[in-house]
Amino acid sequence: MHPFTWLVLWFWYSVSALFLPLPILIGWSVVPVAIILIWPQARWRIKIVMAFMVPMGIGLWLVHSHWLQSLFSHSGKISFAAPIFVVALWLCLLVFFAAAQLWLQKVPTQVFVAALFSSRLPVGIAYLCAGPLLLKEQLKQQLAAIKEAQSARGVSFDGTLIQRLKTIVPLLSPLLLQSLNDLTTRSSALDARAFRRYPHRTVLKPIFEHRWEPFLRVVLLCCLLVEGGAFWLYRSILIG
Amino acid sequence: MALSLDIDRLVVDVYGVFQLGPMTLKLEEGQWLAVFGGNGSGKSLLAKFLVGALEDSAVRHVHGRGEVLGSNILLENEMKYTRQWVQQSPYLQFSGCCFTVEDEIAFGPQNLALPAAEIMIRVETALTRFKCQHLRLRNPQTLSGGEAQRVLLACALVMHPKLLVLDQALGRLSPEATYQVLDVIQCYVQELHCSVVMLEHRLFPAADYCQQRVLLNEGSASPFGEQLPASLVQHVVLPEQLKTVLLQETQNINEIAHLLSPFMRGGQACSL
Repeated sequence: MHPFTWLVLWFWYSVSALFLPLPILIGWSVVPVAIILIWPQARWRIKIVMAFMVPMGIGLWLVHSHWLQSLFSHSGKISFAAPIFVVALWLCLLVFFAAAQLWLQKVPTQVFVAALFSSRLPVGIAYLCAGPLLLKEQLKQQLAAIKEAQSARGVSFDGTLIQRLKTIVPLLSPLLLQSLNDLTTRSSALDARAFRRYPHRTVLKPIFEHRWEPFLRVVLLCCLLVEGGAFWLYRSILIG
Repeated sequence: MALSLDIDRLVVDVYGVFQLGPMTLKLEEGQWLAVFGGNGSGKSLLAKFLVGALEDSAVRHVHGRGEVLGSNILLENEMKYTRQWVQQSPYLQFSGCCFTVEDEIAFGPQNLALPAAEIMIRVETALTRFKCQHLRLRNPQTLSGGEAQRVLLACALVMHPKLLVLDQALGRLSPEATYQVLDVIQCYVQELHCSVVMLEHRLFPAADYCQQRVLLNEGSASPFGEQLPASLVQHVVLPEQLKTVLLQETQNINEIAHLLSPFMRGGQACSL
């Protein structure tokens, strides 16, 4: 399937989670996690999901369970229970994040960028959308160069956690400044290569798309509108 | 023959901090010009000016006359694909949105909306000439410095420019690779009638390829030919033997020509 179809599928699945009641939401959130676990190529991504969702859960529980509040107010009643809406919120975030991991596994960055550039989007917009996905390699390389330079100046990147935390400033501040300084060179380089000179560019490697995919994308987006409308109506009746 | 560069008494003032010029440069179509100078001599400023990358806010005023490829760069200051500028740091000049060398080279011609067949021919020719076939599927960001410079030169030349500005663009290549790359550029120059401006702090191999040579010292340009000025020693990296002779101030032109000959390899005939 075309990367855009996968993207719309992810969007539909994640946003739909916002409209579901808790019992269904639990099953809804288990599905992407189960697929990650069953799919051998995607299994490693469960660590990323856990690394993001477990601290998020702890944070939400600390803030909303009133345990901290009862502890500091010396109240006799200590509550460990988290409100239902927090559980629902956490499950929604799990759906978003786990489904996004599946999307990333299914659609490699280069395929998505190629799809952006071969789409009908203006070239500038396509570049803007692709930008965040492209930063990783460039920042990694800059960071390695800065690390090398700072090591030569005596900054140690080994040692205890606190010592390593202290090295974040000498790493990040040059990275940020360098990235901003490089913008002029990068934009000149793009101009020299006729970027945005014409509204459309030649597509050498078009991304395959089934005939029914645009239709499916429209249907999924319409489904979201219907779900959202039904949810709003239900809430209005319930409050009214 | 048409003039690629026609600069007359040009002065670029950078807010009283630095002044480039007054300089007069004339370069015919298909000719090579070498601008030598040390650090802070104004080479990169000149390069920016020639390709139209100098921002208006960066300079206080510009005097004189400056025509590059027939257009007045004092009035029309914008980057054009017919003027390619290759700088020292190759990684910053990659498009940033291509994951293979092949796509990176094709990026410019694709932007020109050329027919796919034409793009493929240009890319294949560049890959073959710059000996980058084995790098075809590599990510440009993971290339070594020398490989990245080769690929970047290929990216510049597939645009079929009319003016190529090399701002210390060969610094990461081995001496042998430098000559190979310059031979390839020579081929493109012959085919495209493109002019080349090399901005260098080393005398060789630029002196070997460029018929016109200029020494840039704190912004002021002084042309020189076979007779090397003694001030070259202070600003430009020279072979030791040549440096000794120039310091002795026995500027016998025959003696210098004799000393230069081991370093003058001469461009190879275009057989690619």
